[in-house]
Amino acid sequence: MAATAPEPDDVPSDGPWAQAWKRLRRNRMAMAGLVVVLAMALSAVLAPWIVPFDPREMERWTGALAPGTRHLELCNEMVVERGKAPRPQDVPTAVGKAAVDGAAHVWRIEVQDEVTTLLRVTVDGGKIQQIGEGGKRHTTLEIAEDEFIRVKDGGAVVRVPVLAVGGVLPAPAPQQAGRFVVMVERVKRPPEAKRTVEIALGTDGKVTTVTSAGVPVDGEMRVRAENVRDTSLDGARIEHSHPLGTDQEGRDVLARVLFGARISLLVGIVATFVSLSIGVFYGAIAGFAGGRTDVFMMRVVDVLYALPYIFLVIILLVAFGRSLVMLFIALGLVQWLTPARVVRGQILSLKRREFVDASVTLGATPWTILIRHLIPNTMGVVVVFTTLTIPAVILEESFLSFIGLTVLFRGEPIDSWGALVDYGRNALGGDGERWWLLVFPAAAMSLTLFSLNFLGDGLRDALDPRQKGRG
Amino acid sequence: MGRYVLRRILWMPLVLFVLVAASFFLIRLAPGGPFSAERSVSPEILANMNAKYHLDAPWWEQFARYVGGVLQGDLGPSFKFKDRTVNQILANGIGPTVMLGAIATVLALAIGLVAGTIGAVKQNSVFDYGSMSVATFGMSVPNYVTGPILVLVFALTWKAVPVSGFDVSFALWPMFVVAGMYVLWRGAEWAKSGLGSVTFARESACFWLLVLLLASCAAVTTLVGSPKLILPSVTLALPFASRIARLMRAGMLEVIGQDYVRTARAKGLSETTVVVRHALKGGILPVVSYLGPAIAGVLTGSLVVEKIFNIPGIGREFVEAALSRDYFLVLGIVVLDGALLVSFNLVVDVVYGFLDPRIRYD
Amino acid sequence: MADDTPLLRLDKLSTWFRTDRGPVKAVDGVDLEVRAGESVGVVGESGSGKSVTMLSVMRLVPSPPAQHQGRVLWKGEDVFGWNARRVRKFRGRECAMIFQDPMTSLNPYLKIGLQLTESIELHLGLGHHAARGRAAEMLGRVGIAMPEQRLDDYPHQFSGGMRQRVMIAMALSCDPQLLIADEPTTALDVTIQAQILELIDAQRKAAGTGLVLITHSLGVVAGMCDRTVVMYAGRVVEEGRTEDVFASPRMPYTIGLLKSVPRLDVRETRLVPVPGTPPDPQRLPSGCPFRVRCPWAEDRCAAERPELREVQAPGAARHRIACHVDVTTTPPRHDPASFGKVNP
Repeated sequence: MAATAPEPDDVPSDGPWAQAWKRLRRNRMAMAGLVVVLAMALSAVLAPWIVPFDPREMERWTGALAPGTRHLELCNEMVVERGKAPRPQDVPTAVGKAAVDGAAHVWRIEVQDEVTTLLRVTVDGGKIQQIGEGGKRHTTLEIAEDEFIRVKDGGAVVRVPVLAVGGVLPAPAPQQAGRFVVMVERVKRPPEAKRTVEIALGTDGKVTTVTSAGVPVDGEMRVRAENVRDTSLDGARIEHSHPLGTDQEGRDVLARVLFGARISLLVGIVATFVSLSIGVFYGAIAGFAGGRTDVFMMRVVDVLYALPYIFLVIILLVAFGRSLVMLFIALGLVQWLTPARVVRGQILSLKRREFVDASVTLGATPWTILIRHLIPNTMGVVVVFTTLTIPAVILEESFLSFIGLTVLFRGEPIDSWGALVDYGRNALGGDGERWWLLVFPAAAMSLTLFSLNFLGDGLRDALDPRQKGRG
Repeated sequence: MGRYVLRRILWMPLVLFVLVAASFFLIRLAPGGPFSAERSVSPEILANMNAKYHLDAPWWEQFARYVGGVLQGDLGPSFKFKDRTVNQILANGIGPTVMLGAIATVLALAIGLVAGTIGAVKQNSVFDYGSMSVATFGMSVPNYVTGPILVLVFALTWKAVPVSGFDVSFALWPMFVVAGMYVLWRGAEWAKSGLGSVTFARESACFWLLVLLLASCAAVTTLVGSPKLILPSVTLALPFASRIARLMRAGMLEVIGQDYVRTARAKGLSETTVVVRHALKGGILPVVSYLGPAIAGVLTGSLVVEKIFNIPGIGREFVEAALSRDYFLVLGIVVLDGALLVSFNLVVDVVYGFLDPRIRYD
Repeated sequence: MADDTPLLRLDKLSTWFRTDRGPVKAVDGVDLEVRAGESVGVVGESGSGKSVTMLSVMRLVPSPPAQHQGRVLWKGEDVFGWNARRVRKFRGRECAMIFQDPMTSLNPYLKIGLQLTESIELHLGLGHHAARGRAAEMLGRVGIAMPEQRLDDYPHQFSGGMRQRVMIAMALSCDPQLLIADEPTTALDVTIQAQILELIDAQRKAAGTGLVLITHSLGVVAGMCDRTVVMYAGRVVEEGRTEDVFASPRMPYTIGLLKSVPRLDVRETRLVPVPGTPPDPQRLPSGCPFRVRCPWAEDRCAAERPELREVQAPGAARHRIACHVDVTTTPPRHDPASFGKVNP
């Protein structure tokens, strides 16, 4: 009828994918989710160029710094020698840059040397049992205002006003079950140990002179960061700040979160690919074969559905090692059941369509029909399941690293978001004073999962409008 | 109905067997034995220990021995705790786990069902938007994030509740008994006299609501009496409450749009009767079918929550056992959790059959 | 109550739905009367607003999103002014409704017995046992064998026709004064349709119940209804005694409808469908909504909306139409075949 000219909206002039994209664009939450997910993925990929910090580099002398706190830019141990150009890793970044800019500079470091005494602290069941200093035993040991204690070798600073038998030795001192001994340094910084180190850099980038308290030094000069009171380059303090703070080992939280995103997203994508591949092929074969094969294959799925899966994943990881590949396999094995069921249903209805008969008449083999015609037609479902499976897998991976099954890469644990949350939870402190260690990794993870879920829901609605509003 | 239940019961041992076999062979296939970590052990002692636990026997004999033991209720020895058997360890750990799981399940059901129903009946209201936003949040954010955040806010910053530990007190239970008696008495009143225009005596929905109400009373009394359980229970319950609320709301909305609800209204029934008698049964079905996976989720969640809040349950035991390759303990926990899960699934299936007559008479 | 007060009177009833693309008038100023014991047939294509009109009477159109204008008078009282309690007494007790699809209109999770007895207990104040007795009696009356046993069955154990019988028993169980049947046979097998209609007619006559029968089948109306109301695009376009409407239809739409169904009493072999399709309620043509399909349409029809007006009918019976044209004197202006090209 001429009276109702169809609106351009209703014309199916585009393919189904273009239409789905149109519907998705109208869904504001899903689009916001898409933007967040893309931003997160992008910053994870570009992490090394976004943050100037290495997630594993420890600035131990700082301890946990609140977000945005400005502090001296140092490196753990600064090494200079007259007549040599300083190596970049031996001096602060600002000094390293200044050395190669072709001008002369003066780098001054105010040092206050420390006097240390070694303590032997025996801990049993979380409580201090013994405090030994040389031959003496203490029951209580007050730590004065100008003193602090530090775990030897580990370098982590422990902030307690008093050490007492029966009390606790808080993190970052090692916290393990059972009886063990921690070697602790008690550090004192007497005022008379103050001195100024002055390093002159020439135009060729080499160190021209090094003086300590006015006395020239020949040969190597080493200064440990924890003894530095102040430092300046040409009279200006060398400072920097960590936008999201640092953890108790002095590692940059932003770098840790972004590098954690890498592993979390990588595991999410690869394990999803594994599980969907298994699911689609299993479901397609069951649906296409039909009859007894189908019944048997679906019964297997029923049995597997009833299993408490995460237990098997844990056993798998513990038994075969916590490598990345094992993790992909273990998590991929968990998530394939639902896609298998749905794809089977789709194939069952697709194979009764005319185009299948047409292909059969044209002499196509069953495999060609399955791979050329049937499986491509289930791609809508696959896309929806991809966006819904990725967050599920990220959740599971984080769960595993949270309970202590961190992925090992060349024997080193890689900290994904779950491990960061676990670390942050343990490092909160008695009044939650180090909140940023928990809040930022938790926020990054929640935001990503939230966005992925919204995107998945939006895609489901866009690709299958009839299902809208379910569950 | 009988055949339906029977079929479900016959299904149970099969699932359990697959579970035990899968776990057993995963562990046996793995390189390295339980004692390979103990460096100081000499080869002779190792051989002795392997012999003691029949680890030198062929795999099928080991498997047969294990399954035989399980059938007799013996879950074997623990490698790490050499003075205790797996049975003893599980007997100690199951109390806290089941207690916490039960409280969390009851809380999740009570909060989720009520919020979902109100959200559906008062669709697009402030309550609807508010509760659904919270539910979407609760569903997306895992409990190993919410748990520490709750600790940070309520235990460390606000100091309203203790941080961790496990300490149950039933001191307030006399109060619960009194409250329960009151609820039962009111229930009996309703049954006799009716509420509004409905006599509640024949409402099966009302019976279940009453059971849930009593269970929530018990859960809340326990929580008030033992504040250490509050945060773990809330952490464990939150994702499930959220999911249940969303499922319930979607289910109720679908049912409320059905023709038979319009028929019920056309009969002149009050809105309460329409919702409680005509809409609830159909609307709750998605929630019931979700309960099986939910229990699996509660068991998984207990691994996390017991770690965060330092609760001596089997969840924490499992993680430690897995990390130290205490095979029989790992297997024992898998068997126990699997049995819990499978029997709960049976209960859920039977309840589903009771709710939906079309399945029952299939 | 004065004798001439109609049981049900709709006074310029309109029902609007707010949608994303603006308001949609599903019912547009409907005037209608039903007297006690009278049977009225409401005829129209699907989407013409027949069902929404009657659901509005029962206040079963959820509002919001729907909005009503005009009045519905039950024995002179305004239904829209009633409180919830009064509405509940009205529904089921005074005015009962049978719906189109018996497969979905019965609650699948509840026994038939409960679904029957709940309104009996509520409206007639009977105890449980008395209500069961009454329910069984009603089931027996609508022709269900072994009614006592079947009370404990679930809807899925009944066939479609049997379920519609249950619905009839449910609607009539509280002796309502008016029964609204919304296409009660559309979803049923053809063989059962006649049985169900006969059952409704017999039961209502026996109890002296008024009837509003919503249908798109003219044949059904001819056999069962005292008066006929024809609706188009949410409006009443013709209304009168059934014999008058059928013998001398005055509105072009009714004429078209009558030509499109086979009749046994007229020796005419060719059936002519009504050209075109029903209009989109969101984009109604100006003036008379039927004009784009009407063979008599003239310029005035586009400019001015025709109001319902009285026309001459035999025996001084009321016969009203909403049309500018007098079809008895004017010949059609268009060839029906050219209708697709008429420009709105």
